[in-house]
Amino acid sequence: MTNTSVLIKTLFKEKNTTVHKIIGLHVLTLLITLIAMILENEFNSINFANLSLVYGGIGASTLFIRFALRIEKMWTSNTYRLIPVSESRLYAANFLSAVASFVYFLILEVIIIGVSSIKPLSTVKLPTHILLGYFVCGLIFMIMLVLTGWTFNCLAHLIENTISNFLPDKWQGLLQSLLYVATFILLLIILSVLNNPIGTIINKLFSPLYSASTPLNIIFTLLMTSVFMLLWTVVLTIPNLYLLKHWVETE
Amino acid sequence: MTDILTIKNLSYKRNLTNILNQLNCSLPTGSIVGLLGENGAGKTTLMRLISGAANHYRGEIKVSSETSPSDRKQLVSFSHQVDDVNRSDRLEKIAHFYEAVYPDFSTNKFQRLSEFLNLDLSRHLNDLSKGNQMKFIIAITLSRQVKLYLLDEPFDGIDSMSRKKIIASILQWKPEDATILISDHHVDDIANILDGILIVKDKRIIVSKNADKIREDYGQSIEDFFESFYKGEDQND
Repeated sequence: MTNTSVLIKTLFKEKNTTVHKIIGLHVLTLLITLIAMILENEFNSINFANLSLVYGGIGASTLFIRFALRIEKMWTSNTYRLIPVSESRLYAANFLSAVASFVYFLILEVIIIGVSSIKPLSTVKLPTHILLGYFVCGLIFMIMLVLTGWTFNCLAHLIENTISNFLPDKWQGLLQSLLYVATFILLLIILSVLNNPIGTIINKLFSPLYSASTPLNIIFTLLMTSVFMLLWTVVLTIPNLYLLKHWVETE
Repeated sequence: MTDILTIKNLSYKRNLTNILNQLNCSLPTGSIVGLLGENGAGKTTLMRLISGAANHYRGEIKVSSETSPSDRKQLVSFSHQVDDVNRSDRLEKIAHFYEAVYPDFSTNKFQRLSEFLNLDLSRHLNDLSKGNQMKFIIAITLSRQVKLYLLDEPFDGIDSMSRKKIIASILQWKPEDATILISDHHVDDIANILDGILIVKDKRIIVSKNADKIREDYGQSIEDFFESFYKGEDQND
């Protein structure tokens, strides 16, 4: 059997190719922006920092979508499904490598955005431990957010793939599209139904977040939301693994 | 001789279509067997099921003594395992991936096979001709040290020189105790290297015979013998 850590490392390296492309593009765009600002005598450190943040956001969204597609693709690919590991290990390796790669991306982005925002950041007067708290909790929150997103997307894809096994060939295209939309709507309904009561409890417990916003409340709420998303990810993993083991096959 | 593969009452359905129904067969250890049948007969599906790529079936598939799909993956090297690699990668990079994820992948064997097949490992996969791409797939597949190799239509759409080179590589690089199952619908390509044949028709194996026996008992070439099962029917090719 293939060693799981070796598999994670290999998949991590594979995914990092995309990370490096996006980071390279971010740096290139920043350089072009900087040159353009200098040439037009319009350099403004705050505008530059804001633009860097926007580029970073676009990069993160692109990476999120690219990884979602990559994660999906693995379930129906002979290249990955034929690797001698159990389905649950392949599932874990796929998600863990994506998370590790995303963290690597976020760290590179923090460095780039930090460097391009040195001047505006020097005016921020928050204690180091609070800044560190924001950074760590923000990182955890981002990781959980993308992980929950990928797990949802994975469930939709696996359900669609499973149902399509029972459809005749000529209806596949049309019905697959309909099923995708139906699954997406269904997930939104489930989410809204389940989110409301939990959201109300969180609101009551941590209402200062929405008013005075003390740093500790923000950090605490970020962590609580992350825990909630972790639970969601665990819950969604159960049907995902079942479908993967018993119904979803390579194309 | 012991059997490396035993299949009992295998049925498989996809998209409301029965592809295989109550299929039974076995493969002896150390042989080269042709899996013959017209297009759409279910040859690739059967290989996918044996390899563990498809797992929603009824019946039993046993490779050596293993029946679970994840255990079978350790014992089977299937040419379709190269399907979804990044085609813009260099051959050596792709080979590194296989070296990392398959503990039974022999880099030494891969390098010697690549040399034998005249493959330039510094080239990108999508820059290669169809024949050279197939040579690369064969090199990757045979570089795993396993008991059963599944080669799905390795000569499809490639020129005769590449075909001869691939056949030579199969004969030269096959481990003595390993079994190779080759699917093809152009029987003349592989007839000379086969120890036995399986013919897939009507969702099951209708013939499982030793190649020499066919020549002796029926006085026919493998190709004629195979075609005799389709007499009076419209051929696909």
